[in-house]
Amino acid sequence: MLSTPLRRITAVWLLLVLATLFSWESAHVGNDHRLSSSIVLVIAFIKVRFVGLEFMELRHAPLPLRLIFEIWLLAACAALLILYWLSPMA
Amino acid sequence: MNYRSQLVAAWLGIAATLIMFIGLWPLMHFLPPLKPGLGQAELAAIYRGNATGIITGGILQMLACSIFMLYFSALALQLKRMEAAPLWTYTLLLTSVLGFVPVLVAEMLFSAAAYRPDRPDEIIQAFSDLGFFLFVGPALPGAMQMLSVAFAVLGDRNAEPVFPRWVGYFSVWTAVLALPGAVVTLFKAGPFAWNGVLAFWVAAIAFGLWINVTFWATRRALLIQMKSSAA
Amino acid sequence: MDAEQQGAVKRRAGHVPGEEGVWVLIMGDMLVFSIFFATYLIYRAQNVVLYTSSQLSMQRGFGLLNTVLLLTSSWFVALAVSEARAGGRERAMRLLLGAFACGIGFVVSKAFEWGGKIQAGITLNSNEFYIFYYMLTGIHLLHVLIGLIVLGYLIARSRRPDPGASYVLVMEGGGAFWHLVDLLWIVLFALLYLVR
Repeated sequence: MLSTPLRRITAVWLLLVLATLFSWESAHVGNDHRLSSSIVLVIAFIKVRFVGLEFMELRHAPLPLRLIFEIWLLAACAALLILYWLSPMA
Repeated sequence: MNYRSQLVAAWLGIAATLIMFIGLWPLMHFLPPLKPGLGQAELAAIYRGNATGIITGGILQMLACSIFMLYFSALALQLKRMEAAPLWTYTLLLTSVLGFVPVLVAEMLFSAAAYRPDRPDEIIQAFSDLGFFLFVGPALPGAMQMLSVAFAVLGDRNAEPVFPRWVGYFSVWTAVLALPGAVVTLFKAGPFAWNGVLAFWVAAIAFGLWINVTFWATRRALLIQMKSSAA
Repeated sequence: MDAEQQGAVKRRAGHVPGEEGVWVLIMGDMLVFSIFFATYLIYRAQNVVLYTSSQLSMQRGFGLLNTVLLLTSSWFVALAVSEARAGGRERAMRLLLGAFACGIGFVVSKAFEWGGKIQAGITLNSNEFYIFYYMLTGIHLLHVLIGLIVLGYLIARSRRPDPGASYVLVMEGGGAFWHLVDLLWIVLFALLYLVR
């Protein structure tokens, strides 16, 4: 009875940890900080989406609540990316 | 039952906010607050140049503080209906005083800075610094006011809650937004300084929103009370 | 219909985890932190060189450890809520203890991270980047501490032989707050430690 949630939750956790390691690594390499930093930010928000939908169980929430979350996700990610790209290069 | 008086008291909260704004901006020109990093001479010149505006604005602010006490009493009367024993009611009243006395004193200090133009620049700066500390700094009593409302609303076991539950959660949120004001004594620049976007602007907007929301809730509750006592 | 089926039906219809008001708090907090994040990037844009050079002192190992600790704690909490729903409150309690331990680990790690910096002379007002570093991680730490109190309450509630009718809702709501703490750190970690 518990195996399905256990498997799903564990799979999500594993994905999140791997995404973290990937971000950690990709932030190290490459000379183009702009690109790797952007990827890192996007991955961060993808992770946030997983936490929201799977851990916070917003996937099963009424549409208005879920929509607020998804809209915030998009808006915040876009805003931060734009602010980052608008700033001068290091 | 003096519902009508309570309703007037609630409206006076809005009036107090407006009076505060008029004092702060058109009169004192302290919106935005003066930069902590201003040079002594420049700062002193501001106080000398706008002495009457600052002093008059200060008097208006003190009026606003006094009127606010009536508003918080009306709010407290609603809180009292939510609790078996008035724990959060008393806390709201006490923290309202605790939070607004510094504002009152701040206005005195701003006025003192403007009072004698021939005062040395350093003394004017000292008064001004202390004034802004007292004006922006008491974020903790302010947050405690909001949390009093929050805990009372969330602990309301009445069949018909006095305030809608979301007002409780909203008050927790505004309390969090108000908190950065507490650290202004650590900074002379940046978002956490007394003129900073987080310590001042966000906190001030949070306070304004909270007054409006609690006013709406108080008025709604009073109208319901008036209707059921007339029935 | 048993509890599991009932739960499944509720979920299909759209179930608000916890209580509606909790989401005012959670979404509100997400908005607040978004303002913090945006403020950080705006200030950074005025002085990119200062920020990127200061970031060289950031120890990504700590950041990585902290992220993994919080992700794991969220894993524990998510499982605990699932157990609570299935009636396994004792297992839920043990899972919550695991989450609590991870939270404590986070706090301890933060103490070492800050301690090391302070000993190296890097303090709150060292420069604008460090103002943000200490303040943002500090405000987040405050959330972690509040989250630990919430977890403590959930643990206490789970220990009761009869946790009460609202048990599952309280677990969901409290759990959602803890996931918020995790979620905020994910972005904070990216912004402060990785984005250059």
